[in-house]
Amino acid sequence: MPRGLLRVFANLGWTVYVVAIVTWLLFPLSLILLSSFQGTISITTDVSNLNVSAYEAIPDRYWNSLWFTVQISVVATVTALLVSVPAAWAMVRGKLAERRFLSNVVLLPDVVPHIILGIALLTLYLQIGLARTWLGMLLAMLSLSLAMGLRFTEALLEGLPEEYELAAETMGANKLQALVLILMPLMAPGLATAALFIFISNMVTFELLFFISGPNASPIAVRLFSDIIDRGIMPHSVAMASIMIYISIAFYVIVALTLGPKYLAGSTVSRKG
Amino acid sequence: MSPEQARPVRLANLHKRFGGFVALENLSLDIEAGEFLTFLGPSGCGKTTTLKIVAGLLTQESGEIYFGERRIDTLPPSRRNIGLVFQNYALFPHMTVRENIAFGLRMRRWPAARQAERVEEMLALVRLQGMGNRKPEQLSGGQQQRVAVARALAFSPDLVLLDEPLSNLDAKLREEVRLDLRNIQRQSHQTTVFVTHDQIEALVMSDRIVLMNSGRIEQIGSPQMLYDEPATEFAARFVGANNLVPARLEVVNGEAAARTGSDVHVRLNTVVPGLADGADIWMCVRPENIHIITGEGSSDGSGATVLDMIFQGTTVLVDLESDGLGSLRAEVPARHVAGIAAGQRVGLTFAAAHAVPRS
Amino acid sequence: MTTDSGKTMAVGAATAISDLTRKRRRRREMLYRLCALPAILTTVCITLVPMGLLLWLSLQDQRDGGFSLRYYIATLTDPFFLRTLGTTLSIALGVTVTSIILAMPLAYLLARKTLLRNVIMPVISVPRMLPFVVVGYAMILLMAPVTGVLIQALNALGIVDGPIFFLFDWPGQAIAFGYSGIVVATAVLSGVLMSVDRQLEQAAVSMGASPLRAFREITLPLAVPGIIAASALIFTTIITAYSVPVILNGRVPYMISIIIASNLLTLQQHHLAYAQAIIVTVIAISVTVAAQLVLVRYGRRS
Repeated sequence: MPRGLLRVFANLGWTVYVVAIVTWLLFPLSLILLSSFQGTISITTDVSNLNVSAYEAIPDRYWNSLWFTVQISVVATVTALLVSVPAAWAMVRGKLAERRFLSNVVLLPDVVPHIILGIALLTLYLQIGLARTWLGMLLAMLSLSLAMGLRFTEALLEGLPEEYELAAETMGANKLQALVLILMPLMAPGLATAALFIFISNMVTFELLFFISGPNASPIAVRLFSDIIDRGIMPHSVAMASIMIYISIAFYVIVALTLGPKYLAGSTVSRKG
Repeated sequence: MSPEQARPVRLANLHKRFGGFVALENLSLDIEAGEFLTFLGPSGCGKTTTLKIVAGLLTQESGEIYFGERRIDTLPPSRRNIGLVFQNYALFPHMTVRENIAFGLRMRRWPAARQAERVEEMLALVRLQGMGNRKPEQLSGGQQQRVAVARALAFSPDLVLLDEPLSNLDAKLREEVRLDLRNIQRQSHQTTVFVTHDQIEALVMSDRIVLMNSGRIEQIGSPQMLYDEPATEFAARFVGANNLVPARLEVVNGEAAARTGSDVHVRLNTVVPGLADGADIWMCVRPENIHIITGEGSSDGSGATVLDMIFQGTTVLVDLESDGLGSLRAEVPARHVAGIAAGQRVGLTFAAAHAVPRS
Repeated sequence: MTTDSGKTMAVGAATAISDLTRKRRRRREMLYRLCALPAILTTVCITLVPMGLLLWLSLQDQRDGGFSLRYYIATLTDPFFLRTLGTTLSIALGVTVTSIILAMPLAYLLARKTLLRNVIMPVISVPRMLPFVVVGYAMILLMAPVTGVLIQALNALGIVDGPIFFLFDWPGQAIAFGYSGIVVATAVLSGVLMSVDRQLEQAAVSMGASPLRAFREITLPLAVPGIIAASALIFTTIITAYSVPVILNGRVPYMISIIIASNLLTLQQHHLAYAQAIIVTVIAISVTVAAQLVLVRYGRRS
């Protein structure tokens, strides 16, 4: 009998713990959503007058920042994959003596703290006139995307047996044909996933871009940050923060729909490490 | 592929090292056109290394490879015109069976109509008609294996290489497929090199077997030859079960016999050429060549005590401790074991004995 | 083929082939290097060069440009800097440990219960793909001295009266870091725990171990690589975070990144900021490398 009682308490304990943690993780975000629909930062329990006034009040500079972020994120993602596929191919298949070294060089931006890399880029950009420019931001983002891209593509290629390419070669294909006809189609689903993950991490990058951004080149994360410093928290910035939450939700919905829920767990999603 | 087109293949002094390890030591070999040749040996003997060098996936340190008069080892894999069947088949998962088989034809820019015709021909050859539009993942292991063979044969290569293609199949299927493969090869008259560590496969399928050990050829010959007259101790131990007894060769009036340390005298049916009177030899007796005599007259030949009996269906393995020849194993048809039991004294006669040099 | 001339020909051919092969191999290596080049070049230009410049400038006197270690000496002898560094590191350590402990049971549950995982994992993953600033927004809405939901609730319950500033100081930052720490830890740990074979635990239980004991002696040791990786990730993220420390800052800067930024942006002590940046980089990379070394050693042992 006491054994059964113990079991009941243990189950109760688990339930309380899980509910508490999940609530703690979701409650703050739901506050943002609630606040965005109440149009005020002073949240009340009154849910009768939900409205979208905060969303309507989002100023153009926010939309411009969001659009700007999407643009450079897309360009950085595509460029990074275009550059990292051949690089990964060379590193995984090339059996070059210096492979580890080359690979580590490209993965370096992942190890250096973003804020420090941001400061370093500012220093360099000030000398060559790239600070606070579109191109400067893009290049910074590219270094990060490239590290992620190489990590993804190397893992993808290592997962593909070399026999496919060798088989194509023994049947008369040259290296390029093997790459285009065999390797690329086999990698395509993996590359799409990689693109999705690189894109979303580009969208939320802050520390790297903060120092080199300027009024005309301001990613949305930096914009949300500067406004809180300059003007304090405003309903329309809360609305924009909500939009970021929607984007994150949309990302996970796409991932879950295309890859299945199992991809949500585990370190593949990890931004570092 | 018509036989008169086929050209013999010649490997000349192939040498390969991996670091300090000699994988292949000056290997030379002639492969006849249309022949089914098997490289047999334990893992690490150099058989797969040879195959990879011929296919161009590895580069030899020295030596040459010729198809007829044409030297091909200077060409990249894509221009050697060799069909390779990988151990795991390496069928392109994103292509249908048809596209897989047509890949080599596509690379050779065959016209579409001829490609289609050839693919059908191949599908018929490997008995997969109507499966052309399936993806490899929709096929069974044996079917995938046949697609891999069809793909390697489709573009009429000068040589087809099979790298342990049966090792991923379960035991029952393997027996079927090896006969299949043999028949396909007979029909296509395709010069074929097969690599395996499984001696049964080698014996069943090959015209000739190249037995390899530590990067060198131990023996080349027909399956019958390898089984009945192994040339070395390694060959005698590796191919089939065998009882090896150390002995000395005695030649009297052209009759060869083995004399063991305990002065047992056994007549030899065959002896490796070059062995002279008095040479150290291993006397080799196959288990099925040991006949067990019970009851009257059992004291005539050499005697033995039965230690254990292992039933295997059609035959029974009988472990014996013989007088003067050490422990032996005999294989007796199951219907002949009545009256034999562990602990019993029996007499032995040898239906055939062979001698290989002993160093 | 006659034997003698045949042999000489073969020897000549053998040298020719090794030349040819070597040439072909060299050409193939060139192709591979060429393929890797754009990636290497990009990273060198936008990571190595700026980092090198940072190091170079940190060793130069800001006024006369001469070689000088004064910024490093000044930083490492500045009690204010050292105290802040100490605070930063202890907050980071405390938050890391707390996050791992709080997340471990959840991660374990998610790894073992597929249904629960499919429901909860997507939901709690949402914060991972948010700018950290948005978490800062959430914390303000929760804990702002007057309008914060938590403060209002405490007032309504009569536990406190009026605004509370306490939460809007380092505790607020720790809570914010802990928030994302738990998210990261849950994701990484559940991934690692999923790869631990369930049958190992069942075997332990069948041999008489209690489920808790089986977890402690079988699952936990196998999850150590995940714990180390998650810890290093959370720790380095916290010591170099910038947005939330600024948003939720109290009267005194608690985080090292704020000192560096103010030296750089407002106090115009660029070279001092560079030296401090290098010091933080060294700390962060050391943690990452140390974690890697431990992982490698751990991997070798098991």
